[in-house]
Amino acid sequence: MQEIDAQFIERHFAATAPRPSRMTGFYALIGVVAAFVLVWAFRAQSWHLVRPLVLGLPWLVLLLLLAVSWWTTLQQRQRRRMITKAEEHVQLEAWEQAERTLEPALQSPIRSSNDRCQAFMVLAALAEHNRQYESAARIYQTLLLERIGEGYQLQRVQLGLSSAKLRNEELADAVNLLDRLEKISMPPALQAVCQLIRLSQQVFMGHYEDAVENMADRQSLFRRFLSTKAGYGYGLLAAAHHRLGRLDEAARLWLDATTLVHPERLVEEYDCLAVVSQNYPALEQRS
Amino acid sequence: MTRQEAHRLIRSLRRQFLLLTVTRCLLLTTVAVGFLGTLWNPSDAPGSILSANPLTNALWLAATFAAVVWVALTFYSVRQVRSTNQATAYIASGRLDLAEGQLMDALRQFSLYRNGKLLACHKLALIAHGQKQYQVAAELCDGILSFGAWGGLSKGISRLCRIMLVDCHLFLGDVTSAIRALRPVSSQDPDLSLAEQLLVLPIELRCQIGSDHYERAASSLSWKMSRAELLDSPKAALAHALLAVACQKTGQTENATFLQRRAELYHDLDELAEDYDVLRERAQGSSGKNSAPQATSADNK
Repeated sequence: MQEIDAQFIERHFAATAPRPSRMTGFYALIGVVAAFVLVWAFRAQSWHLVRPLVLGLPWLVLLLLLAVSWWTTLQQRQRRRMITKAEEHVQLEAWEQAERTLEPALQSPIRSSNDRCQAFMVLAALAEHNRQYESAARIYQTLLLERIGEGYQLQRVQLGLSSAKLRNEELADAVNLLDRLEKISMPPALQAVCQLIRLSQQVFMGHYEDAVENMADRQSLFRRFLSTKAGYGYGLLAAAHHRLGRLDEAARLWLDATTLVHPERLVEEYDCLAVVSQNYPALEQRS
Repeated sequence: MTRQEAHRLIRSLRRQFLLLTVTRCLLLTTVAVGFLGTLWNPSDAPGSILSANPLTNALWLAATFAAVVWVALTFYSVRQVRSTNQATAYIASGRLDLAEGQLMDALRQFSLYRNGKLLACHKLALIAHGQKQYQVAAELCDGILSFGAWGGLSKGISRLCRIMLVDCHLFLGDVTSAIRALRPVSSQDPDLSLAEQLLVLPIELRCQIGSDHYERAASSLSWKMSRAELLDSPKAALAHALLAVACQKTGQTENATFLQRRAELYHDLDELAEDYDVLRERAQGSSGKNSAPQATSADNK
Protein backbone atom coordinates (compact mmCIF):
# COMPACT_ATOMS: atom_id res chain seq x y z
CA MET A 1 0.00 0.00 0.00
CA GLN A 2 1.26 3.48 -0.89
CA GLU A 3 2.58 5.61 1.97
CA ILE A 4 0.09 8.34 2.83
CA ASP A 5 2.52 11.08 3.83
CA ALA A 6 2.15 14.86 4.06
CA GLN A 7 3.13 15.39 0.42
CA PHE A 8 0.67 12.77 -0.79
CA ILE A 9 -2.13 14.39 1.22
CA GLU A 10 -1.27 17.91 0.06
CA ARG A 11 -1.09 16.79 -3.57
CA HIS A 12 -4.50 15.14 -3.44
CA PHE A 13 -6.17 18.03 -1.62
CA ALA A 14 -4.82 20.30 -4.34
CA ALA A 15 -5.88 17.94 -7.14
CA THR A 16 -9.45 17.59 -5.86
CA ALA A 17 -10.01 21.28 -5.07
CA PRO A 18 -12.93 22.57 -7.13
CA ARG A 19 -11.75 25.05 -9.75
CA PRO A 20 -13.94 28.16 -9.73
CA SER A 21 -12.16 29.18 -12.93
CA ARG A 22 -13.66 26.15 -14.70
CA MET A 23 -17.18 27.22 -13.81
CA THR A 24 -16.37 30.80 -14.85
CA GLY A 25 -15.00 29.41 -18.10
CA PHE A 26 -18.18 27.40 -18.63
CA TYR A 27 -20.40 30.46 -18.06
CA ALA A 28 -18.13 32.47 -20.39
CA LEU A 29 -18.57 29.74 -23.00
CA ILE A 30 -22.37 30.00 -22.66
CA GLY A 31 -22.03 33.78 -23.14
CA VAL A 32 -19.85 33.32 -26.22
CA VAL A 33 -22.31 30.81 -27.68
CA ALA A 34 -25.26 33.15 -27.03
CA ALA A 35 -23.36 36.07 -28.68
CA PHE A 36 -22.43 33.84 -31.60
CA VAL A 37 -26.06 32.76 -32.12
CA LEU A 38 -27.21 36.40 -32.06
CA VAL A 39 -24.51 37.59 -34.45
CA TRP A 40 -25.20 34.61 -36.67
CA ALA A 41 -28.93 35.36 -36.74
CA PHE A 42 -28.45 38.95 -37.86
CA ARG A 43 -25.31 38.78 -39.95
CA ALA A 44 -25.22 35.34 -41.51
CA GLN A 45 -27.31 36.39 -44.50
CA SER A 46 -24.67 38.91 -45.56
CA TRP A 47 -22.01 36.19 -45.65
CA HIS A 48 -23.80 34.32 -48.45
CA LEU A 49 -23.54 30.88 -46.87
CA VAL A 50 -25.68 27.91 -47.83
CA ARG A 51 -29.05 27.88 -46.10
CA PRO A 52 -28.66 24.55 -44.18
CA LEU A 53 -25.45 25.89 -42.64
CA VAL A 54 -27.09 29.20 -41.66
CA LEU A 55 -29.95 27.40 -39.95
CA GLY A 56 -28.11 24.35 -38.63
CA LEU A 57 -24.93 25.80 -37.12
CA PRO A 58 -26.48 27.60 -34.10
CA TRP A 59 -28.37 24.39 -33.23
CA LEU A 60 -25.20 22.35 -33.53
CA VAL A 61 -23.33 24.76 -31.25
CA LEU A 62 -26.14 24.57 -28.70
CA LEU A 63 -26.13 20.78 -28.86
CA LEU A 64 -22.37 20.80 -28.34
CA LEU A 65 -22.80 22.97 -25.24
CA LEU A 66 -25.42 20.58 -23.88
CA ALA A 67 -23.12 17.63 -24.56
CA VAL A 68 -20.26 19.33 -22.67
CA SER A 69 -22.42 20.00 -19.60
CA TRP A 70 -23.86 16.45 -19.74
CA TRP A 71 -20.35 14.98 -19.93
CA THR A 72 -19.16 17.08 -16.96
CA THR A 73 -22.14 15.96 -14.85
CA LEU A 74 -21.55 12.35 -15.86
CA GLN A 75 -17.93 12.55 -14.76
CA GLN A 76 -18.91 13.97 -11.36
CA ARG A 77 -21.46 11.17 -10.96
CA GLN A 78 -18.85 8.56 -11.81
CA ARG A 79 -16.50 10.06 -9.26
CA ARG A 80 -19.25 9.98 -6.61
CA ARG A 81 -19.91 6.31 -7.44
CA MET A 82 -16.20 5.54 -7.02
CA ILE A 83 -16.05 7.27 -3.64
CA THR A 84 -19.15 5.43 -2.42
CA LYS A 85 -17.71 2.13 -3.61
CA ALA A 86 -14.42 2.87 -1.82
CA GLU A 87 -16.37 3.61 1.36
CA GLU A 88 -18.21 0.31 1.00
CA HIS A 89 -14.85 -1.50 0.72
CA VAL A 90 -13.69 0.23 3.90
CA GLN A 91 -16.85 -0.92 5.69
CA LEU A 92 -16.14 -4.46 4.53
CA GLU A 93 -12.47 -4.04 5.51
CA ALA A 94 -11.32 -4.77 1.95
CA TRP A 95 -8.49 -2.26 2.26
CA GLU A 96 -6.62 -2.90 -0.98
CA GLN A 97 -9.79 -2.68 -3.04
CA ALA A 98 -10.70 0.51 -1.21
CA GLU A 99 -7.34 2.04 -2.08
CA ARG A 100 -7.58 0.95 -5.72
CA THR A 101 -11.09 2.38 -6.05
CA LEU A 102 -10.30 5.65 -4.31
CA GLU A 103 -7.06 6.45 -6.13
CA PRO A 104 -8.60 7.57 -9.48
CA ALA A 105 -11.31 9.58 -7.70
CA LEU A 106 -8.65 11.74 -6.04
CA GLN A 107 -6.95 12.72 -9.30
CA SER A 108 -9.26 15.50 -10.46
CA PRO A 109 -11.50 18.21 -8.98
CA ILE A 110 -14.52 17.10 -6.93
CA ARG A 111 -17.19 19.78 -7.15
CA SER A 112 -19.39 18.63 -4.26
CA SER A 113 -18.02 19.46 -0.81
CA ASN A 114 -19.85 16.42 0.63
CA ASP A 115 -18.26 14.03 -1.84
CA ARG A 116 -14.83 15.54 -1.27
CA CYS A 117 -15.16 15.17 2.49
CA GLN A 118 -16.37 11.58 2.07
CA ALA A 119 -13.39 10.78 -0.18
CA PHE A 120 -10.85 12.13 2.31
CA MET A 121 -12.53 10.35 5.19
CA VAL A 122 -12.00 7.11 3.27
CA LEU A 123 -8.34 8.09 2.79
CA ALA A 124 -8.06 8.82 6.53
CA ALA A 125 -9.54 5.39 7.29
CA LEU A 126 -6.90 3.83 5.01
CA ALA A 127 -4.17 5.79 6.82
CA GLU A 128 -5.49 4.63 10.20
CA HIS A 129 -5.56 1.05 9.00
CA ASN A 130 -1.86 1.50 8.01
CA ARG A 131 -1.26 2.89 11.50
CA GLN A 132 -0.24 6.22 9.93
CA TYR A 133 -2.12 8.16 12.58
CA GLU A 134 -0.22 11.39 11.99
CA SER A 135 -1.35 11.36 8.36
CA ALA A 136 -4.93 10.59 9.37
CA ALA A 137 -4.85 13.51 11.80
CA ARG A 138 -3.45 15.76 9.06
CA ILE A 139 -6.32 14.81 6.74
CA TYR A 140 -8.93 15.48 9.41
CA GLN A 141 -7.30 18.79 10.31
CA THR A 142 -7.26 19.93 6.69
CA LEU A 143 -10.93 19.01 6.29
CA LEU A 144 -11.78 21.06 9.37
CA LEU A 145 -9.58 24.03 8.47
CA GLU A 146 -10.93 24.24 4.92
CA ARG A 147 -14.46 23.41 6.12
CA ILE A 148 -14.92 20.68 3.54
CA GLY A 149 -18.19 18.83 4.21
CA GLU A 150 -21.47 19.46 6.02
CA GLY A 151 -22.38 19.67 9.71
CA TYR A 152 -22.81 15.96 10.44
CA GLN A 153 -19.72 15.05 8.41
CA LEU A 154 -17.61 17.67 10.18
CA GLN A 155 -18.66 16.28 13.56
CA ARG A 156 -17.51 12.84 12.38
CA VAL A 157 -14.26 14.45 11.23
CA GLN A 158 -13.71 15.98 14.68
CA LEU A 159 -14.27 12.59 16.30
CA GLY A 160 -11.83 11.03 13.83
CA LEU A 161 -9.29 13.70 14.67
CA SER A 162 -9.55 13.09 18.41
CA SER A 163 -9.14 9.35 17.89
CA ALA A 164 -6.16 9.82 15.56
CA LYS A 165 -4.47 12.21 18.01
CA LEU A 166 -5.03 9.77 20.84
CA ARG A 167 -3.43 6.94 18.88
CA ASN A 168 -0.60 9.25 17.89
CA GLU A 169 -0.10 9.91 21.61
CA GLU A 170 -0.89 13.63 21.34
CA LEU A 171 -2.80 13.15 24.56
CA ALA A 172 -3.35 16.76 25.67
CA ASP A 173 -4.80 17.72 22.28
CA ALA A 174 -6.98 14.61 22.20
CA VAL A 175 -8.36 15.21 25.70
CA ASN A 176 -9.06 18.89 24.98
CA LEU A 177 -10.87 18.01 21.77
CA LEU A 178 -12.91 15.30 23.51
CA ASP A 179 -13.85 17.74 26.30
CA ARG A 180 -15.11 20.18 23.66
CA LEU A 181 -16.97 17.50 21.72
CA GLU A 182 -18.76 16.23 24.83
CA LYS A 183 -20.20 19.69 25.37
CA ILE A 184 -21.70 20.17 21.93
CA SER A 185 -25.02 18.72 20.85
CA MET A 186 -24.55 15.66 18.65
CA PRO A 187 -26.81 12.89 17.32
CA PRO A 188 -26.85 9.90 19.72
CA ALA A 189 -24.94 7.70 17.25
CA LEU A 190 -22.04 10.18 17.29
CA GLN A 191 -22.30 10.55 21.08
CA ALA A 192 -21.75 6.79 21.29
CA VAL A 193 -18.63 7.10 19.11
CA CYS A 194 -17.44 9.98 21.30
CA GLN A 195 -17.92 7.85 24.44
CA LEU A 196 -15.98 4.98 22.84
CA ILE A 197 -13.04 7.30 22.13
CA ARG A 198 -13.25 8.72 25.66
CA LEU A 199 -13.23 5.19 27.08
CA SER A 200 -10.19 4.25 25.02
CA GLN A 201 -8.44 7.41 26.24
CA GLN A 202 -9.25 6.58 29.88
CA VAL A 203 -8.01 3.00 29.52
CA PHE A 204 -4.90 4.12 27.60
CA MET A 205 -4.05 6.69 30.28
CA GLY A 206 -4.74 4.27 33.15
CA HIS A 207 -7.85 6.05 34.47
CA TYR A 208 -9.60 2.75 35.09
CA GLU A 209 -11.98 3.98 37.82
CA ASP A 210 -13.20 6.74 35.51
CA ALA A 211 -13.57 4.21 32.70
CA VAL A 212 -15.99 2.01 34.64
CA GLU A 213 -17.77 4.86 36.47
CA ASN A 214 -20.82 5.14 34.17
CA MET A 215 -20.53 1.65 32.79
CA ALA A 216 -24.27 0.90 32.55
CA ASP A 217 -25.00 4.12 30.63
CA ARG A 218 -22.06 3.58 28.33
CA GLN A 219 -22.90 -0.04 27.69
CA SER A 220 -26.48 0.90 26.88
CA LEU A 221 -25.31 3.65 24.50
CA PHE A 222 -22.87 1.30 22.76
CA ARG A 223 -25.50 -1.42 22.46
CA ARG A 224 -28.09 0.91 20.94
CA PHE A 225 -25.93 2.84 18.52
CA LEU A 226 -22.65 1.07 17.79
CA SER A 227 -24.05 -2.28 16.66
CA THR A 228 -21.08 -4.65 16.13
CA LYS A 229 -18.54 -1.95 17.08
CA ALA A 230 -20.00 -2.11 20.61
CA GLY A 231 -17.65 -5.11 20.92
CA TYR A 232 -14.68 -2.71 21.10
CA GLY A 233 -16.41 -0.86 23.94
CA TYR A 234 -17.04 -4.09 25.86
CA GLY A 235 -13.41 -5.09 25.29
CA LEU A 236 -12.11 -1.79 26.68
CA LEU A 237 -14.44 -2.07 29.69
CA ALA A 238 -13.12 -5.60 30.24
CA ALA A 239 -9.58 -4.18 30.18
CA ALA A 240 -10.50 -1.55 32.81
CA HIS A 241 -12.12 -4.17 35.06
CA HIS A 242 -9.13 -6.47 34.65
CA ARG A 243 -6.76 -3.72 35.78
CA LEU A 244 -9.02 -3.03 38.76
CA GLY A 245 -8.91 -6.71 39.71
CA ARG A 246 -12.62 -7.34 39.02
CA LEU A 247 -11.94 -10.54 37.19
CA ASP A 248 -15.47 -11.97 36.89
CA GLU A 249 -16.83 -8.77 35.37
CA ALA A 250 -13.82 -8.59 33.05
CA ALA A 251 -14.34 -12.19 31.93
CA ARG A 252 -18.03 -11.62 31.18
CA LEU A 253 -17.38 -8.41 29.25
CA TRP A 254 -14.57 -10.06 27.26
CA LEU A 255 -16.95 -12.86 26.34
CA ASP A 256 -19.46 -10.28 25.07
CA ALA A 257 -16.73 -8.42 23.20
CA THR A 258 -15.48 -11.56 21.49
CA THR A 259 -19.01 -12.62 20.62
CA LEU A 260 -19.29 -9.51 18.48
CA VAL A 261 -15.72 -9.00 17.26
CA HIS A 262 -12.96 -11.54 16.67
CA PRO A 263 -10.33 -11.37 19.48
CA GLU A 264 -7.51 -10.83 16.98
CA ARG A 265 -9.36 -7.87 15.51
CA LEU A 266 -9.91 -6.42 19.00
CA VAL A 267 -6.20 -6.62 19.84
CA GLU A 268 -5.27 -5.25 16.41
CA GLU A 269 -7.46 -2.21 17.05
CA TYR A 270 -6.42 -1.62 20.69
CA ASP A 271 -3.00 -2.88 21.81
CA CYS A 272 -4.06 -2.63 25.47
CA LEU A 273 -6.49 -5.53 24.92
CA ALA A 274 -3.63 -8.01 24.41
CA VAL A 275 -3.36 -8.54 28.20
CA VAL A 276 -7.08 -9.26 28.47
CA SER A 277 -6.92 -11.60 25.51
CA GLN A 278 -4.20 -13.64 27.22
CA ASN A 279 -6.07 -13.87 30.52
CA TYR A 280 -9.66 -14.66 29.55
CA PRO A 281 -11.25 -17.17 27.23
CA ALA A 282 -12.87 -15.75 24.10
CA LEU A 283 -16.01 -17.06 22.50
CA GLU A 284 -15.12 -19.14 19.48
CA GLN A 285 -16.23 -17.31 16.33
CA ARG A 286 -18.59 -19.33 14.18
CA SER A 287 -19.68 -19.74 10.54
CA MET B 1 -53.40 9.62 3.83
CA THR B 2 -55.81 6.75 3.32
CA ARG B 3 -55.50 3.81 0.95
CA GLN B 4 -58.17 5.30 -1.34
CA GLU B 5 -56.29 8.60 -1.50
CA ALA B 6 -53.12 6.71 -2.41
CA HIS B 7 -55.02 4.87 -5.12
CA ARG B 8 -56.42 8.16 -6.47
CA LEU B 9 -52.94 9.67 -6.41
CA ILE B 10 -51.53 6.88 -8.56
CA ARG B 11 -54.46 7.23 -11.00
CA SER B 12 -53.83 10.97 -11.20
CA LEU B 13 -50.12 10.29 -11.83
CA ARG B 14 -51.10 8.01 -14.71
CA ARG B 15 -53.17 10.84 -16.25
CA GLN B 16 -50.38 13.36 -15.71
CA PHE B 17 -47.86 11.03 -17.36
CA LEU B 18 -50.16 10.67 -20.36
CA LEU B 19 -50.47 14.45 -20.58
CA LEU B 20 -46.74 14.97 -20.35
CA THR B 21 -46.07 12.30 -22.99
CA VAL B 22 -48.48 14.10 -25.33
CA THR B 23 -46.86 17.47 -24.51
CA ARG B 24 -43.36 16.14 -25.13
CA CYS B 25 -44.37 14.48 -28.38
CA LEU B 26 -46.05 17.67 -29.58
CA LEU B 27 -43.05 19.83 -28.73
CA LEU B 28 -40.55 17.42 -30.28
CA THR B 29 -42.63 17.01 -33.42
CA THR B 30 -42.99 20.78 -33.77
CA VAL B 31 -39.22 21.28 -33.42
CA ALA B 32 -38.39 18.48 -35.83
CA VAL B 33 -41.01 19.33 -38.48
CA GLY B 34 -40.31 23.05 -38.24
CA PHE B 35 -36.57 22.65 -38.47
CA LEU B 36 -36.54 20.10 -41.27
CA GLY B 37 -39.26 21.94 -43.18
CA THR B 38 -37.21 25.13 -43.16
CA LEU B 39 -34.02 23.28 -44.13
CA TRP B 40 -35.55 21.61 -47.16
CA ASN B 41 -37.20 24.63 -48.62
CA PRO B 42 -35.43 24.97 -51.96
CA SER B 43 -36.89 28.30 -53.07
CA ASP B 44 -34.88 30.61 -50.87
CA ALA B 45 -31.75 32.49 -51.58
CA PRO B 46 -28.63 31.36 -49.74
CA GLY B 47 -27.71 33.12 -46.52
CA SER B 48 -31.14 34.28 -45.36
CA ILE B 49 -32.82 33.13 -42.18
CA LEU B 50 -36.31 34.32 -42.98
CA SER B 51 -37.84 33.05 -46.16
CA ALA B 52 -40.06 34.66 -48.77
CA ASN B 53 -42.45 31.79 -48.15
CA PRO B 54 -44.73 32.56 -45.12
CA LEU B 55 -45.23 28.85 -44.43
CA THR B 56 -41.49 28.34 -44.03
CA ASN B 57 -41.30 31.34 -41.73
CA ALA B 58 -44.19 29.97 -39.67
CA LEU B 59 -42.45 26.59 -39.39
CA TRP B 60 -39.19 28.22 -38.32
CA LEU B 61 -40.94 30.34 -35.68
CA ALA B 62 -42.94 27.34 -34.41
CA ALA B 63 -39.72 25.29 -34.00
CA THR B 64 -38.04 28.11 -32.10
CA PHE B 65 -41.14 28.66 -29.94
CA ALA B 66 -41.37 24.91 -29.11
CA ALA B 67 -37.69 24.84 -28.13
CA VAL B 68 -38.16 27.87 -25.86
CA VAL B 69 -41.27 26.28 -24.27
CA TRP B 70 -39.28 23.06 -23.63
CA VAL B 71 -36.50 25.01 -21.87
CA ALA B 72 -39.05 27.02 -19.81
CA LEU B 73 -40.89 23.85 -18.76
CA THR B 74 -37.59 22.24 -17.82
CA PHE B 75 -36.85 25.16 -15.50
CA TYR B 76 -40.38 24.90 -14.10
CA SER B 77 -39.86 21.15 -13.52
CA VAL B 78 -36.71 21.83 -11.50
CA ARG B 79 -38.95 23.52 -8.91
CA GLN B 80 -40.57 20.17 -8.27
CA VAL B 81 -37.23 18.49 -7.62
CA ARG B 82 -36.45 21.34 -5.21
CA SER B 83 -39.74 20.72 -3.37
CA THR B 84 -38.88 17.02 -3.09
CA ASN B 85 -35.45 17.86 -1.71
CA GLN B 86 -37.03 20.21 0.81
CA ALA B 87 -39.40 17.39 1.82
CA THR B 88 -36.39 15.10 2.31
CA ALA B 89 -34.94 17.64 4.73
CA TYR B 90 -38.30 17.72 6.59
CA ILE B 91 -38.31 13.91 6.78
CA ALA B 92 -34.76 13.94 8.18
CA SER B 93 -35.82 16.38 10.90
CA GLY B 94 -38.93 14.33 11.71
CA ARG B 95 -41.50 16.88 10.46
CA LEU B 96 -43.47 14.34 8.48
CA ASP B 97 -46.66 16.45 8.16
CA LEU B 98 -44.75 19.29 6.49
CA ALA B 99 -42.93 16.82 4.26
CA GLU B 100 -46.23 15.22 3.22
CA GLY B 101 -47.73 18.62 2.31
CA GLN B 102 -44.66 19.58 0.33
CA LEU B 103 -44.68 16.30 -1.59
CA MET B 104 -48.40 16.52 -2.35
CA ASP B 105 -47.79 20.03 -3.78
CA ALA B 106 -44.91 18.70 -5.85
CA LEU B 107 -47.10 15.91 -7.21
CA ARG B 108 -49.84 18.35 -8.22
CA GLN B 109 -47.47 20.61 -10.19
CA PHE B 110 -46.93 20.03 -13.89
CA SER B 111 -43.57 18.56 -14.81
CA LEU B 112 -42.01 17.63 -18.11
CA TYR B 113 -40.10 14.77 -16.48
CA ARG B 114 -41.51 11.64 -14.85
CA ASN B 115 -38.53 10.95 -12.60
CA GLY B 116 -39.17 13.93 -10.30
CA LYS B 117 -42.78 12.87 -9.74
CA LEU B 118 -41.87 9.24 -9.11
CA LEU B 119 -39.21 10.34 -6.63
CA ALA B 120 -41.79 12.50 -4.80
CA CYS B 121 -44.22 9.58 -4.75
CA HIS B 122 -41.51 7.30 -3.38
CA LYS B 123 -40.81 9.78 -0.57
CA LEU B 124 -44.54 9.85 0.20
CA ALA B 125 -44.50 6.05 0.47
CA LEU B 126 -41.49 6.35 2.77
CA ILE B 127 -43.45 8.68 5.06
CA ALA B 128 -46.45 6.32 5.10
CA HIS B 129 -44.10 3.41 5.92
CA GLY B 130 -42.51 5.45 8.71
CA GLN B 131 -46.01 6.13 10.13
CA LYS B 132 -46.73 2.36 9.97
CA GLN B 133 -49.47 2.91 7.35
CA TYR B 134 -48.31 -0.19 5.51
CA GLN B 135 -51.36 -0.52 3.25
CA VAL B 136 -50.93 3.04 1.99
CA ALA B 137 -47.19 2.57 1.48
CA ALA B 138 -47.80 -0.73 -0.35
CA GLU B 139 -50.42 0.90 -2.60
CA LEU B 140 -48.00 3.71 -3.49
CA CYS B 141 -45.03 1.37 -4.06
CA ASP B 142 -47.13 -0.98 -6.17
CA GLY B 143 -48.35 2.01 -8.19
CA ILE B 144 -44.80 3.32 -8.73
CA LEU B 145 -43.54 -0.12 -9.79
CA SER B 146 -46.39 -0.46 -12.27
CA PHE B 147 -44.92 2.42 -14.31
CA GLY B 148 -41.83 0.31 -15.11
CA ALA B 149 -38.69 1.39 -16.92
CA TRP B 150 -40.68 2.75 -19.89
CA GLY B 151 -42.59 4.98 -17.48
CA GLY B 152 -39.36 6.72 -16.46
CA LEU B 153 -38.73 4.62 -13.36
CA SER B 154 -35.02 4.51 -12.57
CA LYS B 155 -33.37 1.28 -11.37
CA GLY B 156 -32.55 2.80 -7.98
CA ILE B 157 -36.08 3.97 -7.15
CA SER B 158 -37.51 0.75 -8.54
CA ARG B 159 -35.36 -1.35 -6.20
CA LEU B 160 -36.10 0.81 -3.16
CA CYS B 161 -39.84 0.67 -3.87
CA ARG B 162 -39.72 -3.08 -4.31
CA ILE B 163 -37.88 -3.53 -1.01
CA MET B 164 -40.39 -1.26 0.73
CA LEU B 165 -43.30 -3.10 -0.86
CA VAL B 166 -41.98 -6.46 0.39
CA ASP B 167 -41.51 -4.98 3.86
CA CYS B 168 -45.11 -3.68 3.83
CA HIS B 169 -46.47 -7.07 2.73
CA LEU B 170 -44.53 -8.74 5.54
CA PHE B 171 -45.86 -6.29 8.13
CA LEU B 172 -49.37 -6.92 6.78
CA GLY B 173 -48.78 -10.66 7.24
CA ASP B 174 -48.94 -11.49 3.53
CA VAL B 175 -45.80 -13.60 3.08
CA THR B 176 -46.86 -15.00 -0.32
CA SER B 177 -47.20 -11.53 -1.87
CA ALA B 178 -43.92 -10.50 -0.21
CA ILE B 179 -42.07 -13.44 -1.76
CA ARG B 180 -43.63 -12.70 -5.15
CA ALA B 181 -42.63 -9.02 -4.94
CA LEU B 182 -39.07 -9.88 -3.82
CA ARG B 183 -38.46 -12.39 -6.64
CA PRO B 184 -36.48 -10.00 -8.95
CA VAL B 185 -34.17 -8.95 -6.09
CA SER B 186 -31.63 -10.98 -4.12
CA SER B 187 -29.34 -9.74 -1.36
CA GLN B 188 -26.38 -11.42 -3.09
CA ASP B 189 -27.05 -9.77 -6.44
CA PRO B 190 -23.67 -8.24 -7.46
CA ASP B 191 -25.48 -5.25 -8.99
CA LEU B 192 -26.73 -4.15 -5.57
CA SER B 193 -24.79 -1.56 -3.63
CA LEU B 194 -23.81 -2.40 -0.06
CA ALA B 195 -26.57 -0.11 1.26
CA GLU B 196 -29.12 -1.98 -0.86
CA GLN B 197 -27.77 -5.36 0.25
CA LEU B 198 -28.19 -4.24 3.85
CA LEU B 199 -31.80 -3.25 3.14
CA VAL B 200 -32.62 -6.51 1.39
CA LEU B 201 -30.94 -9.00 3.75
CA PRO B 202 -33.30 -8.81 6.79
CA ILE B 203 -36.36 -8.67 4.52
CA GLU B 204 -35.20 -11.66 2.50
CA LEU B 205 -34.56 -13.60 5.71
CA ARG B 206 -38.03 -12.72 7.00
CA CYS B 207 -39.53 -14.03 3.75
CA GLN B 208 -37.50 -17.25 3.87
CA ILE B 209 -38.16 -17.99 7.53
CA GLY B 210 -41.81 -16.94 7.18
CA SER B 211 -42.24 -19.47 4.37
CA ASP B 212 -40.22 -22.19 6.14
CA HIS B 213 -37.35 -22.14 3.62
CA TYR B 214 -34.72 -22.69 6.31
CA GLU B 215 -32.08 -24.29 4.06
CA ARG B 216 -32.11 -21.26 1.80
CA ALA B 217 -31.94 -18.89 4.77
CA ALA B 218 -28.97 -20.75 6.26
CA SER B 219 -27.02 -20.86 2.97
CA SER B 220 -23.98 -18.57 2.45
CA LEU B 221 -23.96 -18.06 6.20
CA SER B 222 -20.60 -16.30 6.50
CA TRP B 223 -21.52 -13.85 3.70
CA LYS B 224 -24.83 -13.11 5.40
CA MET B 225 -23.14 -12.64 8.77
CA SER B 226 -20.57 -10.25 7.28
CA ARG B 227 -23.45 -8.09 6.02
CA ALA B 228 -25.61 -8.49 9.14
CA GLU B 229 -22.72 -7.16 11.22
CA LEU B 230 -22.95 -3.86 9.34
CA LEU B 231 -26.64 -3.33 10.10
CA ASP B 232 -27.80 -1.01 12.87
CA SER B 233 -28.42 -2.72 16.23
CA PRO B 234 -32.13 -3.70 15.93
CA LYS B 235 -31.78 -4.90 12.33
CA ALA B 236 -28.54 -6.75 13.16
CA ALA B 237 -30.36 -8.45 16.06
CA LEU B 238 -33.26 -9.38 13.78
CA ALA B 239 -30.99 -10.79 11.06
CA HIS B 240 -28.92 -12.78 13.57
CA ALA B 241 -32.03 -14.11 15.34
CA LEU B 242 -33.50 -15.25 12.01
CA LEU B 243 -30.21 -16.86 10.96
CA ALA B 244 -30.18 -18.61 14.36
CA VAL B 245 -33.66 -20.00 13.65
CA ALA B 246 -32.52 -21.17 10.20
CA CYS B 247 -29.41 -22.86 11.64
CA GLN B 248 -31.43 -24.47 14.41
CA LYS B 249 -33.89 -25.91 11.90
CA THR B 250 -31.11 -27.20 9.64
CA GLY B 251 -29.26 -28.92 12.47
CA GLN B 252 -26.38 -26.43 12.82
CA THR B 253 -26.87 -26.20 16.58
CA GLU B 254 -23.53 -24.61 17.48
CA ASN B 255 -23.96 -21.88 14.90
CA ALA B 256 -27.52 -21.35 16.10
CA THR B 257 -26.41 -20.86 19.72
CA PHE B 258 -23.66 -18.45 18.66
CA LEU B 259 -26.01 -16.43 16.45
CA GLN B 260 -28.72 -16.32 19.11
CA ARG B 261 -26.22 -15.05 21.67
CA ARG B 262 -25.05 -12.40 19.26
CA ALA B 263 -28.62 -11.36 18.51
CA GLU B 264 -29.27 -10.87 22.22
CA LEU B 265 -26.18 -8.68 22.52
CA TYR B 266 -27.34 -6.43 19.69
CA HIS B 267 -30.84 -5.69 20.93
CA ASP B 268 -33.65 -6.79 23.25
CA LEU B 269 -35.31 -9.61 21.32
CA ASP B 270 -38.62 -9.39 23.22
CA GLU B 271 -38.90 -5.78 22.08
CA LEU B 272 -38.17 -6.85 18.50
CA ALA B 273 -40.72 -9.67 18.67
CA GLU B 274 -43.42 -7.03 19.28
CA ASP B 275 -42.71 -5.57 15.84
CA TYR B 276 -41.87 -8.70 13.88
CA ASP B 277 -44.42 -11.52 13.75
CA VAL B 278 -41.85 -13.93 12.37
CA LEU B 279 -39.76 -13.67 15.56
CA ARG B 280 -42.79 -13.90 17.84
CA GLU B 281 -44.10 -17.01 16.09
CA ARG B 282 -40.69 -18.73 16.17
CA ALA B 283 -40.15 -17.77 19.82
CA GLN B 284 -43.55 -19.24 20.74
CA GLY B 285 -42.88 -22.28 18.56
CA SER B 286 -39.50 -23.00 20.07
CA SER B 287 -40.25 -22.10 23.71
CA GLY B 288 -39.62 -25.13 25.83
CA LYS B 289 -37.91 -27.00 23.02
CA ASN B 290 -34.54 -25.28 23.14
CA SER B 291 -32.34 -24.59 26.10
CA ALA B 292 -32.13 -20.98 27.19
CA PRO B 293 -29.06 -19.18 25.85
CA GLN B 294 -26.39 -17.90 28.21
CA ALA B 295 -27.07 -14.54 29.81
CA THR B 296 -25.05 -11.64 28.43
CA SER B 297 -23.81 -8.68 30.40
CA ALA B 298 -26.30 -6.57 28.42
CA ASP B 299 -29.11 -8.53 30.06
CA ASN B 300 -27.68 -7.96 33.49
CA LYS B 301 -27.69 -4.19 33.31
